[in-house]
Amino acid sequence: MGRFKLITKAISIGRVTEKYPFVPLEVPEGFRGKPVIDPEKCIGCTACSNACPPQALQVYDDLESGVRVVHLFIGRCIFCARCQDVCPTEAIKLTKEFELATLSDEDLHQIVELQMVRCEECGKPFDTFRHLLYTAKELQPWEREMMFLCPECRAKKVSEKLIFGKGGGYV
Amino acid sequence: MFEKSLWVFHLNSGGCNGCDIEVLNIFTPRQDVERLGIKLVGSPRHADAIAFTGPVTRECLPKVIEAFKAVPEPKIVLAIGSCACGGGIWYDTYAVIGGVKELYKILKEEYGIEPPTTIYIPGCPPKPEAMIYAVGIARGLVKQKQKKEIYIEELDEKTKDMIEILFEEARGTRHFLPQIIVKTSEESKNES
Repeated sequence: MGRFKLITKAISIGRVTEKYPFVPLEVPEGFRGKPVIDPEKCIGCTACSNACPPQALQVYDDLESGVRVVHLFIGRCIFCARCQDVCPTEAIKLTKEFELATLSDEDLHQIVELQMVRCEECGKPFDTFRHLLYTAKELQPWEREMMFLCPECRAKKVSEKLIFGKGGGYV
Repeated sequence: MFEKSLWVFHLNSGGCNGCDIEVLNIFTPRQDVERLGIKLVGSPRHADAIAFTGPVTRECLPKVIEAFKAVPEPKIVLAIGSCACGGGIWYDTYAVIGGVKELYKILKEEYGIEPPTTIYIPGCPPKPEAMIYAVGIARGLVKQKQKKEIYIEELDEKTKDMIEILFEEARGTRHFLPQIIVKTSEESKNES
């Protein structure tokens, strides 16, 4: 009798095996898959690289060519979505893509290169154009005078103005 | 690469057991991979493929090398999880050598073994279907989707216009000071 019950139950349930590699699979809501940087939106503010626990996202400056590189290596990513939380422009997002298996290590990289601003005084690159414009909108108009100076040159300039500037006044 | 059944030896090389549980999931009735001819074997000598799930700690390095050498040629290495792919969250600690790529360097230097075909499966832990997909690549059932992406920004006229607009706004205000040229006392004497 017990075996008969088992057979009837097995028939009533039917086949449960998915035909996965031959049929596409739907992932559930809120699944955290492959992180993708939208290069048009990214401003190179380095918030994501500060938040990334395994440093799969690294941001470094190439001072010779004046380029800021946002380098994502998915092979080290732990899919915690902290980068998505901190991104101010919603440039980085975790998609539902999970089919990431590759035959080569090289295919797991995503690189975004952003142009940097050179300082007017010393010629050293210090920030990206996009980040500068993003922050300049927030500033008061009279504070934009020293926008194209690197932090060291700006400090010098401010002190010069305080000492030699006629009428004084804070800038 | 492998047209027929793939026998896998599963080796935990210092992982946290998250990936191991996902490996066991693919043998359940829901994702029954024995329909694709995949089977876990008890000894590396019987295996076609070896599956690493961990960042290869220093403690287990000799055992990993021994198991690796025992697998007969031709073989495939499945690097399961972020730890095996690139070191994961422990990529720079002292107790870990950091993924299969570092393991291949040691094997080449010490034993002169060339790295075999490797399938990297990122994920922390990877979805069971992601592992089936990786095996599909090894068997030639599916095509690889992931590719390297490089974007290089080119400055267009929009940014230049934006900068001019911002400066014009600044010049319009009364707080904007004219540029001050600082001269030393000798320079001013020369001028006069």
